[in-house]
Amino acid sequence: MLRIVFLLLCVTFVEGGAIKPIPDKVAVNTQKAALGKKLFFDPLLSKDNTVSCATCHVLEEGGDDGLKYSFGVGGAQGSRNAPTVLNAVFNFRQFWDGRAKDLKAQAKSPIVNPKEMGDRFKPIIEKLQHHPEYKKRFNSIYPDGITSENIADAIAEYEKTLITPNGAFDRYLKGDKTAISKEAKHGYALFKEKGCILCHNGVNVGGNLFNRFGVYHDANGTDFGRYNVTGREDDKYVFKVPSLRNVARTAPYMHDGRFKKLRDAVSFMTEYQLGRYMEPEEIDAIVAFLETLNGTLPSNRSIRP
Amino acid sequence: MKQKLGNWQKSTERFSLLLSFFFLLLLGLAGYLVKINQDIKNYTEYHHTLNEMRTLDYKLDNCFSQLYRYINYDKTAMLEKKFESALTILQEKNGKLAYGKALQARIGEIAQVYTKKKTYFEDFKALNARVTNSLHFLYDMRKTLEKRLREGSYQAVLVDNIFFGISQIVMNIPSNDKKISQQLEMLSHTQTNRHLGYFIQHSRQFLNDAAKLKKVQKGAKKIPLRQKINLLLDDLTQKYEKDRRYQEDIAFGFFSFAFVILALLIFSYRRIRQNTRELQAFRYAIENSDNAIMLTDTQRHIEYVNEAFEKYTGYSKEEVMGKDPRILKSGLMPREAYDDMNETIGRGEIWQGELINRRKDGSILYEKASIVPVIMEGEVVKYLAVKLDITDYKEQQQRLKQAATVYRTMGDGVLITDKEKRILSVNPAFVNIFGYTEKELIGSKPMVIKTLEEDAYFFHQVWSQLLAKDRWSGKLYNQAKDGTVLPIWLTLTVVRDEKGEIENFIVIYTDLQEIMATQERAEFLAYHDSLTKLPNRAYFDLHIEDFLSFADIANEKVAIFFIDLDRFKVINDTLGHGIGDIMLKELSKRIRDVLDENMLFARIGGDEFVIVARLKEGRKEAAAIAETVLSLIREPVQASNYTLNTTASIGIVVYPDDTKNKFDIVKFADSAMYAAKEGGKDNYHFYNEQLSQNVQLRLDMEQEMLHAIEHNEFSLVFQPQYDLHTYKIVGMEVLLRWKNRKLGTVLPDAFISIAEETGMIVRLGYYVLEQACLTQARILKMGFTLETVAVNVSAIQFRDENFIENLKQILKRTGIPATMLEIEITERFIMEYSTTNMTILEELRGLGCRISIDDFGTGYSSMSYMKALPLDTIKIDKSFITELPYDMHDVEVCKAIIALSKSLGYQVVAEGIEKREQEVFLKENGCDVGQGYYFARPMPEKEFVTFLRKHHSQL
Repeated sequence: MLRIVFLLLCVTFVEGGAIKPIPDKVAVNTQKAALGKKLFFDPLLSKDNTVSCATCHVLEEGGDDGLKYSFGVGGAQGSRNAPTVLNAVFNFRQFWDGRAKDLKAQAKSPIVNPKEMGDRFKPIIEKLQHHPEYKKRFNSIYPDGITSENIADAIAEYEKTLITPNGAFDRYLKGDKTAISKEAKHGYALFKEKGCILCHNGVNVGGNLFNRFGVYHDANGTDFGRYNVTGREDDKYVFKVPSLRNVARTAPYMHDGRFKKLRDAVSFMTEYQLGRYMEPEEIDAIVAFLETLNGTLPSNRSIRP
Repeated sequence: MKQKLGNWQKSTERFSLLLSFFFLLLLGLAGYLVKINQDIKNYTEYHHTLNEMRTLDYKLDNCFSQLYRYINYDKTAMLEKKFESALTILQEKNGKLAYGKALQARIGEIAQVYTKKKTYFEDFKALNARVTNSLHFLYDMRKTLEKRLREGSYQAVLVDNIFFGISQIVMNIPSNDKKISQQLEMLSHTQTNRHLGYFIQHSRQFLNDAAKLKKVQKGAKKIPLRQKINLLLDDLTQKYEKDRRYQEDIAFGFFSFAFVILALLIFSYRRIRQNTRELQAFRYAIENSDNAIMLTDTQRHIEYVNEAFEKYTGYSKEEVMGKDPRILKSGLMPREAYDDMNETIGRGEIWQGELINRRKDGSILYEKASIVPVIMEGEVVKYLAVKLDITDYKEQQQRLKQAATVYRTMGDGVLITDKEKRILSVNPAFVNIFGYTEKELIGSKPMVIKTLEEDAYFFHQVWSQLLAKDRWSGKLYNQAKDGTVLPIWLTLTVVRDEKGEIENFIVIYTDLQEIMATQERAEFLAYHDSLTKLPNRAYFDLHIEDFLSFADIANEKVAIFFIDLDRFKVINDTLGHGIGDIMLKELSKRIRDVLDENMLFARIGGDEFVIVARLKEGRKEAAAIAETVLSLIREPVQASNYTLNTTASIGIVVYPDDTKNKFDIVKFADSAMYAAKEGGKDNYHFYNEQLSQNVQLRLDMEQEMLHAIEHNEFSLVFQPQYDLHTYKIVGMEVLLRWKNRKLGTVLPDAFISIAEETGMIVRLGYYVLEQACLTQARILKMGFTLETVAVNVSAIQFRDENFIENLKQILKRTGIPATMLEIEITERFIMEYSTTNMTILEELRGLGCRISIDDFGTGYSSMSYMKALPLDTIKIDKSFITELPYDMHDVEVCKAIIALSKSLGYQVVAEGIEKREQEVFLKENGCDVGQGYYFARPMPEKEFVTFLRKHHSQL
């Protein structure tokens, strides 16, 4: 009798299509995107004209900066690891604590964060107003010209283009059975079997729910995470489950960048989140699978700033 | 009319006001419909959104039920995103919709409730992932534990029980969680291995999370999200329906209103149509009015004129549009008339009066005009001029006025009667002529003016002709009031009316008495000289024939005397016409008095008289008459303070001995008179055939002379003038020779006078001047020094008005300085043309020419002339030289002339020196220059040059 019950449970587990390939293209307004690109790379948006979006989100290096914590204007250091900008469009909320509901809402934040770009919108708008090209382009796109909303909108529009389709695993999903190694295939099976897939699913392999950091053990975190946003006791140590796309490129790991190696991160996750033990070969196989999640980095030429 | 116009204007204003209002209404309605449409669209969208939200909520709830299962969270995230965007639409749309605060509050509630539900949902997602993981793990673990645990052992029983409990929870079978926890507790106190430890850990975790999950599920179920959405949906629908009803009411209101306005519009339109028709009728009346009608704006620019205007003025509409009516101004109106007009219409009153304007063709147009300021709403908006062409009337009036003036002022008496021949009116002249006053005559018959010829037959004749021809005129005698019988030229005229019935008789009395007197006097004046009262040339021409035919009948001879006063012109010129006239009157009286009455004595020219006398005894008798006349003339005449001596020359022709032709008589007599003059004046000369021959010779000469210059028949000869003391040749006098192929050599004395008479002298004169100058130029070129070249110039030449200019040209052409040219004029010329030609002499002097007087001493030289004239040289006439030094008279004259000239500073030249003793005398008496055969004869140019050369070498 017990057996029957668990068989039923098992059926739900084997359900296919848990991970979807990244689409080749996301529809964008190219004019806005072009303007957004210019803004993304322009340190003008920072208080001392030294830091741009691209300072921390280095596109060639996986959409982040490879640092535990990023440095903002005047050398100020942040308190969370910079998440990648790549494929961020597919996340259901932005930031580790999910406080921004979309890219546009997110884009405003680093600009005015004193530890990041440390600027305010009023002087930025003034700076842009004195820049004839920005003035012209904003006016041609937006009826109300240069505003904080429109700046964020343009940047968000550009960020929509920062996707990494055509990864080896996506090709595999699309039917190319040779696209990934046997070990990686084994890793994918383990990924599903061991329960990783329960949180890391969908297009972005994660990024579509929150969960507690340290379920079976205390993860020794100092950051209350989502509690800072909601104030609910239940939300303490709760973070957005991050996307595993390009995960091999986005070390260090965790919201506090505590692991430099992917293997360590996987091992930690197994124990703390899944409450399991995995053999080292199994962890290797999963890492091999995760490495197939690297997609084609967005071409810098796709959008002209 | 004005009122109509006002009505019409008001109607049209109301009409356009209504029309614009109507359009505004339609526009409003259209706008409102658009708004309603938008509302419906918004409502549909809103409704749709809310429905979608409801669906999404169902889906969310569905997720909540997917407990203990793997869930692809992309799908759930999609639900959230969709719901959120729908919510955004609601929130954003709400601002645009006028759905009120109630709905806004509801939307707020929805957002709030959704946030709560979302929180449950996020918890659910996290917990579900965890419980699913635990279940998964436990399932894995069960096999391992089955292998590791002994069947039926305490531990195995506990594990089995725990599994059973978990299964119950998973299948939602009521379970005892406490019991499971106790069994887990009991299991944990047994000897455990690693696997059992994981089992316990996960089971505990599961129990914990499943409990939480149940709570979350329960909490979520309590969230009234769907109720809130439904409430909003209800509210929305209600509100919408309310709005629709309201909108329907408003639309209906609009339509009703539009209908009313449309009705008003139609009504208004009909009124305008009616007004328009009336105005069209007015317009038709204006167009076709006999009155010229003109409409101007306040700035007096013509806006309208009718056809009558065009007809009256000759201007077309197009020509006058926009112009000022002043284009019609004739300038014949006094300024005050316009001032009055402007002042009147300026006050807004109607001006009426007459205008004198001008048509396009310039003719005068009289108009009776009314100028009306058109006032609308208290303001002058236009001027209307209504004018009637009264030119014909005016002109007729003028003609009547003229006729009346003629009637009043004419010299003829006019009498007007009615058809019964009763006098209606007489004019002042009638009163003057007959002495009756108008009062005395009115009503009576014209027969009061009795005629002497009371002949019944005569009157019958007059009547019948008058009635037949409506006019009669003839001479008769009437008697004035005082009894005087007057010769009258009577004109009777009948005035008939349109039917031809007699209306009036008009009788015009022309008093012939005065006319007859005037006629006699005119006749006398026509045939008599007013100065001497002698018959004039016309009389002579008229009566000579009578004389001659009478003589023919009587077989008598008739002598015709042609009398010409010698030098009468001099008297006239020097003493004035008044003196001349006194002399003529005196002389004619003297002659008249001695002549027989039968003789005809006439003055036929200024100083020419004719006597026609019948001869009983022949030529002797004629000579006696001539002698008598000459003696009468010779006697001094006392005129004013002058005692004048004059003589006459008389030519006599005897008819029919000399000629039978009446026309020849005068001609022959003239020739005879000239013969007498040439014979030394103060005598008479009978005509003979020789004289006629001379006349023929003159005619031949005239004929030949015409082409003499072209035929090179004229030639110049030069006579040297030399200094009597040094014998140096100082100049030459140019003399003219004519050698004709028919007439042979003609002497200057003969042909010069003819040339002067025919005017040929002018051309000839220039020819001589030019040739003389050319010769002088050639001589000078040869190296001789001749001071002057003297050329005789005729008085006639000076009459050519271009003389001075032509002379200048000649001098310029030939290159001879004016100072070298000496113009010789005759003493006679000075005497005859003293005043008129003084200026010419002055001009010649002005040019630099020298002037000499030729033949000095033969005329009437006057000391005063000599002093006044601009002279250089005096030439003593050769008649004074010939008898020198033996004739004492000539000696004295020469001495006197030389002395006189010297005293006046003139050079003296003696001409015609033929003998040595003459030269000696002149030299001794101080004469400067000589000229004559003794020194050298006149020579052609070639000889003259040879002479010069020879003479020069001798000196």
